[in-house]
Amino acid sequence: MHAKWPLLLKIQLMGLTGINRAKNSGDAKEKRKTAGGIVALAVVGAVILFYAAMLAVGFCAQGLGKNLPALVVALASVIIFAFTLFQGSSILFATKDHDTVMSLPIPRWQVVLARMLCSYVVNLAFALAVAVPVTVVYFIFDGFSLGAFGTILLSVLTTPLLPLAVSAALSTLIAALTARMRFKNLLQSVLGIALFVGVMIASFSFSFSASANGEADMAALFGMLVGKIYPPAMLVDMTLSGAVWGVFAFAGISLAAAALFVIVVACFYEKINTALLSRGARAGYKAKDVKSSSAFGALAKKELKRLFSHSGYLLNGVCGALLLLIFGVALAFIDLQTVFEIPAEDFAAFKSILASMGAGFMMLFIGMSCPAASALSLEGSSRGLLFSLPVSARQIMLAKAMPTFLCDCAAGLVFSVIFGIRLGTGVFGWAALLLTAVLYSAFTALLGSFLNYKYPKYDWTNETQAVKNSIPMLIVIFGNMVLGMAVLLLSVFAGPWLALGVDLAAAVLCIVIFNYLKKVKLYV
Amino acid sequence: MDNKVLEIKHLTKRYGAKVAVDDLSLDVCAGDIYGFIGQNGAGKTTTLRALTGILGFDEGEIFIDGNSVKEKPVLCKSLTAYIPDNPDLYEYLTGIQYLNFMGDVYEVPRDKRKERIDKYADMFRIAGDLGSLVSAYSHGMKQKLAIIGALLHEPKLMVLDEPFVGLDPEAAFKLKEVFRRMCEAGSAIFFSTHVLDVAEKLCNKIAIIKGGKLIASGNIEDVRGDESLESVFMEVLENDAR
Repeated sequence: MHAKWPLLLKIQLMGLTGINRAKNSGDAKEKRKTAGGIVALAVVGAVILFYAAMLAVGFCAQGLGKNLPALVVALASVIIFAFTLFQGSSILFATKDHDTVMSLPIPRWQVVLARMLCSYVVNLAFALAVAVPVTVVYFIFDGFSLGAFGTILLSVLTTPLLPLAVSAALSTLIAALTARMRFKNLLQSVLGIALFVGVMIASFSFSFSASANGEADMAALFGMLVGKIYPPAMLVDMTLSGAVWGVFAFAGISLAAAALFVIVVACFYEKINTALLSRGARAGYKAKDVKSSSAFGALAKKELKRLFSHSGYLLNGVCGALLLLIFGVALAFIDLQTVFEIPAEDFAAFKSILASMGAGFMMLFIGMSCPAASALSLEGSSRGLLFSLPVSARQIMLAKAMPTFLCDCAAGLVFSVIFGIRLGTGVFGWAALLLTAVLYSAFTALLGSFLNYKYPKYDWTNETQAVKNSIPMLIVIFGNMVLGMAVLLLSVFAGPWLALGVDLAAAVLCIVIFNYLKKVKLYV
Repeated sequence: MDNKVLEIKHLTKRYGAKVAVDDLSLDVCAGDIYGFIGQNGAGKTTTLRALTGILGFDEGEIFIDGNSVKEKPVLCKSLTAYIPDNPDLYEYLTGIQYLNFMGDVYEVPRDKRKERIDKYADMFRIAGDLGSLVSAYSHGMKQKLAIIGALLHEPKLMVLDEPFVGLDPEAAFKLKEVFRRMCEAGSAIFFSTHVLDVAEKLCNKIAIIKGGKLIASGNIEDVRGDESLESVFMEVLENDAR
């Protein structure tokens, strides 16, 4: 019997890119949408290439050029781990094509392998986007050598394996532990959030301790990433310093981790899937008073319930707001002077600089997650039911934007109040903080909803495809990241005025999108 | 007996405390068109999913052509074809891409694959639509595509969940013809249905399931006696209600 995983992998990749759909669709609009998506992807790729190249140049300027390959491995691994932390179980288990695939004569390990490889391909593309410019800079500064090229190539090809295996193992463990429990979705979400918060706190504590050592910025970054957060990357560094076996050990560890994960999961695959997909109807329901609400209220409630219905969607949807909330609450308790080790005489100036960055910081985190950008896509094949309701398309789209707005706005307001009080922000600083919490959250929610209308992806086989690997999500997250970072840094010079300007622009764009939604029509 | 294509022995499947299928045993032999009837939530789909290897089960054994579903799942699946009640086909593929995928997975040789696709696509009148995306198909067309995909490897056992829902009368008629021809060639059909008329006219054997338990099974003449299948089915339900 031939290996079947390549067939399954091919089918999955065809669904991921959308190119097959565009190629075989007679609809010119569909082709334009795919072309637009490719352009958006290219822009995001270009941004990654640019940032990676700048980082590499910075490293070389500080005489750390020889450490670049190990830095790429560590940086890409940490980002891949963070981005795949919540998606492991939804890629592997309870997928929409589960019944079809499991009824086919394909061994379980090959099903798991194909699903893992699909995720590997996506993450390899990201690793390459980071590695290519860095490698070019590395060779320009250090000179080309075949040995170094081989080392970098082997390390980059195997880089996604270990973080993928670890993140998928953690989410699988959570899925397996909670599979037979009644409130499995809620439990998975709570455990996922606990894991996420734990990882974030650990990385920030590393970051603070690295800064506290008084090392130069770039050296501190290298020491933190390679030395503390991701030590396997040190093996790549060792090869370039003369110990040839290092990169082979790195590749071996990565391959072994991925293979072990596939073998272990394959053994329990059917049991976990059966437990996750088994939902016995409960008997003995007694009718209570029937609650009623407006049509829009009902739609918004439905969207909130949808957000909480799937742990992957919830965790991806609220991670930005959650981090903002954690930072806000942490700010209330930590002593900034001690944490950043600022001399008493410099602290007032430091506080004033930090105070001006609050709104930009908030924008960065508000834009980090946007469930509105995938809410329409998640309707999938049952979207006809929603579109046939006697409500306007605008009401549907606004309801889809509502959970994003509520989560981001609530977290933003909490952060604003604590940040404003702790940093002693002035009147305009307060205005920038509060307006950002409200207006930027509304803008992110409406933009996500609008983009999802423009680029819906209904033909997903697992929710992660709609939630994470979609064009609207890519544009919202990367767009907001660039804008938030720019506001964060430029606010040091411009004060709160820049954020207020962005808030004003956000308000105008909200009105524009709100009016545009009046014209939209939703068709199956 | 040697010609048993499907043997279910004491199958039990629980969802938490709820017993969805309770100690169910039945045999489907080569040449049988076996109807599986019951109310909504009676345990039909759970049984079908268990025997196709999609769903694990708590107790009992299932054999396909003498092979245990638990011990040799891939072999059993290669002998079986399953069509769920609402086939979730890959909407981003064209019809022909989907059929080629199924042909590849079941390792159907190219010439035979072409011959069968041509034959069944013409029979179900979707030959002209195979180049279109599945997302553009109607429910009935998706059902027809799933049926053609399932027929490509000439399965020994065909398991179908409500196969006639969504099919136009002509397609339903042709599917029944296909069933009969397959059975003449030594295969067996096991399908669930709510349409008692279809079960009565098409099946040679029937099983009635209620609350996860097998209430009656065997040759259709033995099960219904002198009454109609509908009367027998209603009688079974009413007896239990009392």
